[in-house]
Amino acid sequence: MVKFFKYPFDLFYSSLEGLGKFFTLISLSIKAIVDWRENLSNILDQIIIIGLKSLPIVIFTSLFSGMVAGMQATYQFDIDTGIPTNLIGQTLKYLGSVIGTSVLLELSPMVTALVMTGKIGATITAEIGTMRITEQIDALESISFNPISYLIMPRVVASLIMFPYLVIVGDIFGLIGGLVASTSSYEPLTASMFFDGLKMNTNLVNDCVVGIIKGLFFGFAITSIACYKGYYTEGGAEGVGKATTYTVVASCISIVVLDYILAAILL
Amino acid sequence: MIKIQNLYKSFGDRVILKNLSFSIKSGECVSIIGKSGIGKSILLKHLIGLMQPDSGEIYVNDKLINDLTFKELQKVRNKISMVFQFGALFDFMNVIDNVSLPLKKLTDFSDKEIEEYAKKSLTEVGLEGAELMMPSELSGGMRKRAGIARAISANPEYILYDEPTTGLDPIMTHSINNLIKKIHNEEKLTSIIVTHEMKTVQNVSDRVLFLDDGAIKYDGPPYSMHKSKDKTVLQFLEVSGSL
Repeated sequence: MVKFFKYPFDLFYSSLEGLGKFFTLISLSIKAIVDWRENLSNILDQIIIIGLKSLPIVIFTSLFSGMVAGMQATYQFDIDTGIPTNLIGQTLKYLGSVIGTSVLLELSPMVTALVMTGKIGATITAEIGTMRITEQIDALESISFNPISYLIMPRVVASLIMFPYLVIVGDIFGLIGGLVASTSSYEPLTASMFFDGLKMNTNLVNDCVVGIIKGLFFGFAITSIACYKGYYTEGGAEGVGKATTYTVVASCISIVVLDYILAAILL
Repeated sequence: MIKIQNLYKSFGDRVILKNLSFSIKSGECVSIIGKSGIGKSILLKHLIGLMQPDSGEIYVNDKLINDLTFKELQKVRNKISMVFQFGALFDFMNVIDNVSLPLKKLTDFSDKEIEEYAKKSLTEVGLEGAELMMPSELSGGMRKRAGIARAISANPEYILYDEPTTGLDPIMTHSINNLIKKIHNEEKLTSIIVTHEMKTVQNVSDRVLFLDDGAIKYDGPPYSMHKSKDKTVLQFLEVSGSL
């Protein structure tokens, strides 16, 4: 009975403690950026892992999510919209604008972040968590390495550099997907109409920048959560599994919440 | 010299070390023994600053190492190496890179010199030819040897071994014991070994600290342990077949 009433307090206390540890670790890793020269090869390795090696999956998912956006937009247009037949030609070009905006503002940053949560977030937690439980992090410290400069900072820096770049790649392939799917599934729409529609959107550059900013925040959230959970892993192989699951769940939730907050601020 | 005064460490309600005090002179080879989970490895991690005590002082060469900044602690760690229980080799590096890492961090040697020293350390532990192998390709005994090679590569004053023979067959245990003894004598190090193996204690160390219930129950040479009046010490000797 006592346990039952104690549980919420314990949960609150451990959550506060966890938040404190998280922000301390992240502030230390940001402080450790001054050691970038010493850890340049690690940063470059992480740039390759987080950025270049993730390109195929980002291209693939962005292409298909753009195609879904294209199909859905033309489907909605194709059903009885109530637009008089003689006006359809003029309104068709808005499809390019609608698809472009959804890809740049929402689909590309969101899909990239969710895919990267599974690919990079889980990998980082599993790697650092395994190093923790096999005493490799203790071994690093014992030979005078700062594990935060050596392990955490390069991953955070690499994600800050590479996530915007991945979002841009996602934008390009999302738009290509949208173009291909919408023009092939809805005959009256041509590629030139699609591009006309894109050009009509005067906020196109702004939408693109908002998407990139979102990517930057999502990347930081994913890597910092992943590093934190990995760094404080305990409980052997089972602990690594739990930490990895936590990373994926917490990252997905923080992406959705951040998406709303950033939309409210930036739009 | 390592000196510990009134060391106290607890995790929640569980008290691990209670007012522990002892000192280890330079050149000594000391074994720390006791039951599993009694805090031997925790004690070892305090000596290299990987854990902080709740209270008490730890001195390394007369320098108090509690509450040092990371940079100050780095200077102390340059004098101490630790061999971890399962080697703790960095699994993203091959053997020679693992052994070279302390040299890269702690010395101003050229790449060629680092390679030479690393190869020398590997030869010393009998791992010549395994330079390019990855940790996942090594057997338990080879991992421990590679861990020892990494620990001795940067020429430390103190070497701490955390259960160096755990999980090894008797022949490999004997071979690791001989290696520890050889390194201790040839490199003129101060060695501190946490172990369960009475053979390691008897063959390698000059002095034994028996840890139980957070305190030292025996401090003396291995050959007089049987004269101890402490029940746990005698039980430990009896069960390990050393009485």
